[in-house]
Amino acid sequence: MSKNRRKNGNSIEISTFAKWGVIFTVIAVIGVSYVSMKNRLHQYGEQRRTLERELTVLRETNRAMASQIVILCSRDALQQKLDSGFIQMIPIPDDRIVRLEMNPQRSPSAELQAVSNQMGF
Amino acid sequence: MAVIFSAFSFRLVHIQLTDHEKYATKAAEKHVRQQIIYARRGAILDTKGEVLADNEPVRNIVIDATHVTEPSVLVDILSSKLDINVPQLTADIAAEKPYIRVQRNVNELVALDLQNALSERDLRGVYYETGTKRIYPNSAMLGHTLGYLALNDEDEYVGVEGIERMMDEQLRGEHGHRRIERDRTGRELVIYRGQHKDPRDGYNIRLTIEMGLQQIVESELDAAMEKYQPENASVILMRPRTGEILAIASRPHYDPNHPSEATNDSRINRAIMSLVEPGSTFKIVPTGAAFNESLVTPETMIFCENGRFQYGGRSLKDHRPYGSLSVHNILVKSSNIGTAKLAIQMGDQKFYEYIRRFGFGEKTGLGLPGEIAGILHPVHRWSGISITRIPMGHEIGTTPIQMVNALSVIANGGLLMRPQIVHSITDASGQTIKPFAPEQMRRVLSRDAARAVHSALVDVTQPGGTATRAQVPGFPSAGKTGTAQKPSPTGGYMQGKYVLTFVGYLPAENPAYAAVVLVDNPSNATEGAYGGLIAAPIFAEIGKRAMRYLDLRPAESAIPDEPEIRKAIPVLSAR
Repeated sequence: MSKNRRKNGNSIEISTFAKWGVIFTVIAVIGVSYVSMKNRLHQYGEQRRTLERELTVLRETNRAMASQIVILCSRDALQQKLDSGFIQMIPIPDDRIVRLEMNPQRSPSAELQAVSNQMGF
Repeated sequence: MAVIFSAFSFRLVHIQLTDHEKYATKAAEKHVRQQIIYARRGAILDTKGEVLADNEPVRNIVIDATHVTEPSVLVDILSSKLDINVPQLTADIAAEKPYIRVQRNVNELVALDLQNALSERDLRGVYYETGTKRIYPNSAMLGHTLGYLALNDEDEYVGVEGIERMMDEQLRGEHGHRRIERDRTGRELVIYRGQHKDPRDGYNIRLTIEMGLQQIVESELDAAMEKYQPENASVILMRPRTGEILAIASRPHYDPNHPSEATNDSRINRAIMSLVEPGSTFKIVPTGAAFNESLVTPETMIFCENGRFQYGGRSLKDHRPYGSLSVHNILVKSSNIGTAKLAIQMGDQKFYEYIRRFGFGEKTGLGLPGEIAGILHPVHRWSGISITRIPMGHEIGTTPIQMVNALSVIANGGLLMRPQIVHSITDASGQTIKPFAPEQMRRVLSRDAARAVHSALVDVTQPGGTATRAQVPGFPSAGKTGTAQKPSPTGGYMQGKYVLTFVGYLPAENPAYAAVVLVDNPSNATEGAYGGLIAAPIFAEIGKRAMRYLDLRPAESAIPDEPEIRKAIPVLSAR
């Protein structure tokens, strides 16, 4: 009896279930990973775009400032400040300039010598 | 049922296979776009690196109407921030144009303000192209030489005058591009970025101009315009040894920041475009040529006919009657008859060759757009009296740049240099890409012949000469005055209208620069319209300031015996 019972019973094919289970799981994981990575790629792209935009704004602001500096430091701007009295310059008269010149003819003994201030030398 | 199914199937196959290209292109047009990455135009600098032309960042505001969701709100916000044509923009958006340029050259801060306002309302469809606007920080100073930009047929800025045009290719650079894809909301899909090419920014152009000297020249020219009220005036300073232009200015002038406001008259760079008879300044040519041909020495005596010389049936006069003058004194006293006799002795053909060798009758090769060659007729077109008129600077048309270039031959020991205004081409980091070395064109006179003319030109500025007002304290100067009647367009000369010139160099020995000062028909010449009375003092005023600027040591010492060093401190205060 027990023999017949065994004959009529359906065996569960664990290995088949396991095989398909693994296949579905792998496919599912691959699919989810693909979507996840794709989304992450889009996020990175978005971050990159945002950073690029920030960088561009910073660069352009920097250039705008640089061009403002150029304008404010121009001779034209300085002349206007001078004319309006914002800055004042007093020229140095010729008789108040002292010109120091090296003597071009020096004797060999007057040449500069290397010196050392270290003790013992 | 089968027929309907077949029809749908046929249509599907037709769309997918036959019309594939058409629909793919249409889809790409909607989502894929070639984005131009603009190259920055190079800057223009003076010889010491001072910025003369630069770029200010601005934005061009554009709309892709296919991405606009609330047109009326968008137009309202845009019109509140920008100066736009509202009905036109509304119509363009309604027509769903993919590229509508709303406004060019919007200030960076205004654009940021607009961007924030649109973000707050979550409005889409507005895009910003970064661009630049050309600025000339010194306004009208050196305006003629720098030139300006204008839009061409391809909607690109190109140089139309001056250095901007002359060096446009080097300044412009090359635009880059990027192929981008957008989603349905118009946002770029960064991961689908395609072809990318970086832009190459334009090179910087370094000029030979020294702005310290340029400012001196411009301010003295303004003062002269106010004092003498001429029709126009020009000044050029050139380094004789190299041909480098140190300063160049003419009046009237214009501000290249606002070229549309300039009158036609003010656009003319008279330093290279003005055609004038040089008058007596031209006498250095026949005198130098006669020395070079060994026809005369400085001591050779020439009979000056007591002020009236009959030649070719016409009379030639001197402004004062002279008997016999040495060749040296012919130049010092500026005798028309003496120089005419030197040219006659030389002969038409030889004299013509020397005029050409001095650089007259052709462009100098400076390179600035618009330069003219002047007028010098070939010998076979000369009249019977041309040989007596050309030596005193009549019957010949020259430009100020030609005049200073010819004088530089004397200051440079007989060598003619090519005038040069571009010093070098550099990249953004300052590395030299291409230097421009001084170029010797030819030897015009022997060193001895040039020295003999030089000696006379020094005496021209001394007591007894015609240009004592060209003296600069502490610095011996050399030069020659010129006073020429203005030719009439209908022939002959206009009564009471003169072009006054002075060409000179300073210091006379080892000159730092050669200069030409030209004043055209002053209406307020109270002392008399002569080159020695009006042009020479302008030369002297420029010289006084230029010698200080260049820190040259005066020949006559101005140093007191016991200098009070404490007083030598410059005062620069700000408040």
